[in-house]
Amino acid sequence: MTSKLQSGLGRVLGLSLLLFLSACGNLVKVQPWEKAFLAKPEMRFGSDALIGKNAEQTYASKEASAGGVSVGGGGCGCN
Amino acid sequence: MIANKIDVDLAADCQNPPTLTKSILFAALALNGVAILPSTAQAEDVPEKASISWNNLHYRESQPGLDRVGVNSNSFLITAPVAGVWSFDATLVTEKVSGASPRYHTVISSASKMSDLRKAGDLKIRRYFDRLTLSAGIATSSENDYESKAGSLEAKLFSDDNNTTWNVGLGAASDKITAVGRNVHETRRGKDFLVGVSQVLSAQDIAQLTLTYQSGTGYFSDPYKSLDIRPRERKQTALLARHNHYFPDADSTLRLSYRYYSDSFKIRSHTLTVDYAQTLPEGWTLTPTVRLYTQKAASFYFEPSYVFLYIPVGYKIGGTQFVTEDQRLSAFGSRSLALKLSKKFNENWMFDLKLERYQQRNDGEGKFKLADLNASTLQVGVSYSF
Repeated sequence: MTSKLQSGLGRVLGLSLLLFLSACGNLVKVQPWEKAFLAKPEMRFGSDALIGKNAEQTYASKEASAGGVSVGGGGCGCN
Repeated sequence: MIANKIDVDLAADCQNPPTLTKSILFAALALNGVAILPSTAQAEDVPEKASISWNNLHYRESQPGLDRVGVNSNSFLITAPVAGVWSFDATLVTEKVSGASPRYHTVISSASKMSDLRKAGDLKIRRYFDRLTLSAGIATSSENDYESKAGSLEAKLFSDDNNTTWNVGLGAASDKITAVGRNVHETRRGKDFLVGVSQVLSAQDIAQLTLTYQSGTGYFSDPYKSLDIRPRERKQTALLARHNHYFPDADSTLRLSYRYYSDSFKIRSHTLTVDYAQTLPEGWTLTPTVRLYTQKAASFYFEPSYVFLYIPVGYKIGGTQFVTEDQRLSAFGSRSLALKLSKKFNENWMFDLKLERYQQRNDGEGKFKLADLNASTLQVGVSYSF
């Protein structure tokens, strides 16, 4: 299952990066008065605060991966 | 990062004053609770309000026929603005961990029982400038057999139009590791680096790409495993891509996240997370989440095939080779399904409830297959802004 999942996720990675790069190529200059939707809490990265932090701690204690979000966090003996 | 406000550049507006339509829009948004702050000073605004949040987490994991580790934790977060150009975040966590942890692979014995109390805290201070936000943080964590101290410095630089944000960060950590009932007195040090960019793609889209690199030296083994000897150096790299899209007609937000991870243990992993926040009437929001994860085993992971007791086939007793029988360093895939329900009572009070079901399946076959790991998490949180 894992090798199939890896292959599938690899394809998703390639497609996602392609979509991201193509979107960057068509950047629209968004004016301040057009940013109402972007200001919504749900649109902010890391808006979950404690819930998100706890979830990442749980994943890191059961899996061998971590990182990608921040620096300088204290560790734990759980991993 | 886009602040939780609409940023109106007065200098630009003097040359291109808002039309009547835009003025009406500003007024409408203000009535809807979206704060509009004329920003001659700062690209990222200081939080308007202070807030206190509390969260309780209850976690329980199991493998077929056997309960394993349980966790109950309480955490508090305080966020507050100071003097108009500063803010601070402070977090406190107390976590009680108990249950049975495997001695090797998924083998549980009477010696596997454990109980521990973890206390952790961190403080981050931010200073807001015109196109720059600087932050400094410290963190500490202590348990019966583990102590950690860490610090960080970060800088965010904003473009003139606030559509692009560049982020750089440095961190360092120092850990002390002991083991209850065992003669272990070890240390570990690490440094980490972060670079990232956030880009507004449209009025409904924002994306972020972040690269982190961590280099650590010292003790990485698990002192409670029957046989676990890991390299005394570990280098870790993670690339995280995120994209948030808002659907105006549905008043909902789709959040996509992908992380690629690799390290010097030869572990490679992919993480894909999709969540969809649907706003409902009366201040409710429902957010289902799917998280898929897959990893390759560490190069020194040995399969569950034994010569004698826990000594794996292929391991040379008395040699200098690295070895681990830790399930967490094996090859496996996991799937997590979660549902979060939030209720905003008014401008001050917010309530969250999140249920999550996690399933981990090992990649082995036949006698090399490890027991499945299943876990459930319940989180409850309350937040008060003032």
